[in-house]
Amino acid sequence: MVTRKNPLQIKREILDFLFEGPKGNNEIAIKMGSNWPTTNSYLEKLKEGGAVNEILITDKMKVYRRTDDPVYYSIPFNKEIRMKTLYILKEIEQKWKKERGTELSKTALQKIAVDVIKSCNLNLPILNFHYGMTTCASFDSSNQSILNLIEEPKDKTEIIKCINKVFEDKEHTGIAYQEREYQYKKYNLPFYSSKEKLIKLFLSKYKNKLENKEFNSEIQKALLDLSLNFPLKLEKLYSDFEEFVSNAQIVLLNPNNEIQNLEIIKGTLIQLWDKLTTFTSFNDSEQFIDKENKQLFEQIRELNLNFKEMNYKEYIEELESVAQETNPFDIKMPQGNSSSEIQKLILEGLENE
Amino acid sequence: MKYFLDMNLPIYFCMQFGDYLEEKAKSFVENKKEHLFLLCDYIVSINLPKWLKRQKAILFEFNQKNLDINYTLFSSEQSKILFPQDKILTKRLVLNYETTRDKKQFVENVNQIFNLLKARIFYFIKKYVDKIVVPDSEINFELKSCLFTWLTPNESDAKTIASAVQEHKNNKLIIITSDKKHWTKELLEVIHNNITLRKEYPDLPKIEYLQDYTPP
Repeated sequence: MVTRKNPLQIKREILDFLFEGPKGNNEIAIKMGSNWPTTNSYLEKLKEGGAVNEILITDKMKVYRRTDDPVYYSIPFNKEIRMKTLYILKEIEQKWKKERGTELSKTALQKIAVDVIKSCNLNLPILNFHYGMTTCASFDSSNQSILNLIEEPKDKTEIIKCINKVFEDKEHTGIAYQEREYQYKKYNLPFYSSKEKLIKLFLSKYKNKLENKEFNSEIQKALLDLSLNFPLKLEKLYSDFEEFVSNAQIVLLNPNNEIQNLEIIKGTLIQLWDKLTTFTSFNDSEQFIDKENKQLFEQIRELNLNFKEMNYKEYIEELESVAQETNPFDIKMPQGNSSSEIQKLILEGLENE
Repeated sequence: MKYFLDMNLPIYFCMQFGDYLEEKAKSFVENKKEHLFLLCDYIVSINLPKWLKRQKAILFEFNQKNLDINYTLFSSEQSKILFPQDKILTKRLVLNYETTRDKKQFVENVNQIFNLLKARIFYFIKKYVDKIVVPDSEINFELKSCLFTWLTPNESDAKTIASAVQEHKNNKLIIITSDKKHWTKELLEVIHNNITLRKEYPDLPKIEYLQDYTPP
């Protein structure tokens, strides 16, 4: 006798299936053993209830994901990667709470998890994301529906051993900013350190006003430091970076710089950073994507990069227009022997054109 | 008077270290008064952006070397656009950095100069250039080819001079350059060895050199 599933069961099954990653409507229909219109009506109901949304819509198909998908950008990693990563995050969080008696911040949890993955060479993605290296997923212990789906991996014992070993490292304080600084130092990530320093300057001394020459020069130095730490692997986005730095420098060097311009510089930096780290995150993910998911991965990548580009463009255009209001001849070229030498070299190059 | 500017002039003008030609360019621009400054579309839309792109790649290379002593110069993707003279400039920048006492200041200066230079060039065009002439697509191919043949194979010089000759046909102008070696009266006269071109451009523009400029 065939037992018919009730609507609630079907919806639950669809959500469980989407826990494995974003899926096309046809794939969902096949998995449910149902026809396309029926599946579609369930997906619509789930969408209305806010449980799923479309991540991609093309003429031929729609790709759905859980709205609480823990994987960043809903990148289509396979089930094993998702499961194992979430298992590590869950174990670390629980262990920390049990042993230290405090809640672990989301940043700290990620930093410790990265150490676990790296120190034991677990073959799991590590993304160079907004605040340094992270796993591919975020973890929310209050989301019972996700927690219930996390299964124990085969190499559980090995993972637990790794976690225990990483917990012996007393440099892990569980405090977000300390964890970030520790990771940047440990894995030599000076680009992140420089950005952290720059953002700190924007936030901490912000109200100490702009007439403060020292503040202005500190920002300029931090910006230079960021330029000098620009990593080769981000070369494809160097034009964007250079565009930001050169415009920001002009604005900062303007003796009549106004306080609101700092907001524009800060805003542009945040958007640029978002663009850069989205780029690196997808690049870092690429090698972990199964062949059958490559096309979907590329579509999600393109969608996100275009979106970040759009946001960045809005800011950089504003920064550019502020920079263009400045007469760059009001800003003195650096003086001294080295400055003359540099300018002379540029002219020599020009004469040999 | 209408002056057709070579690309070097704005760049000299944007420098600030007391170089002889820089001073000449400044004096020339400061005495602009009722004169009109023309730049050709090829310089504004193609050659200058390309030059600036190469400067950006030079700065990238310099900063990468600074970040990592083991970095192999010109191993980046963007360094592929660099000309041999750009590579020499990059190497000399690195060498100067290595021998300078105040390394921090040197790096700061390199970055500031490259960034400021770009802003100054765009500002110069906006403020001092009255007209951008001869769309690149309208450069006379035969004229350009003739110049290219005689002017060592230098595409950018050939296109720039062709633009000047074409513009001169309708609006009399004087070419101003610092390139005494290539931009010569004799070169222009080569155009008249070609019967068709002689007919089309019977009158050739005069060339003046920045080196010889004396303020009124």
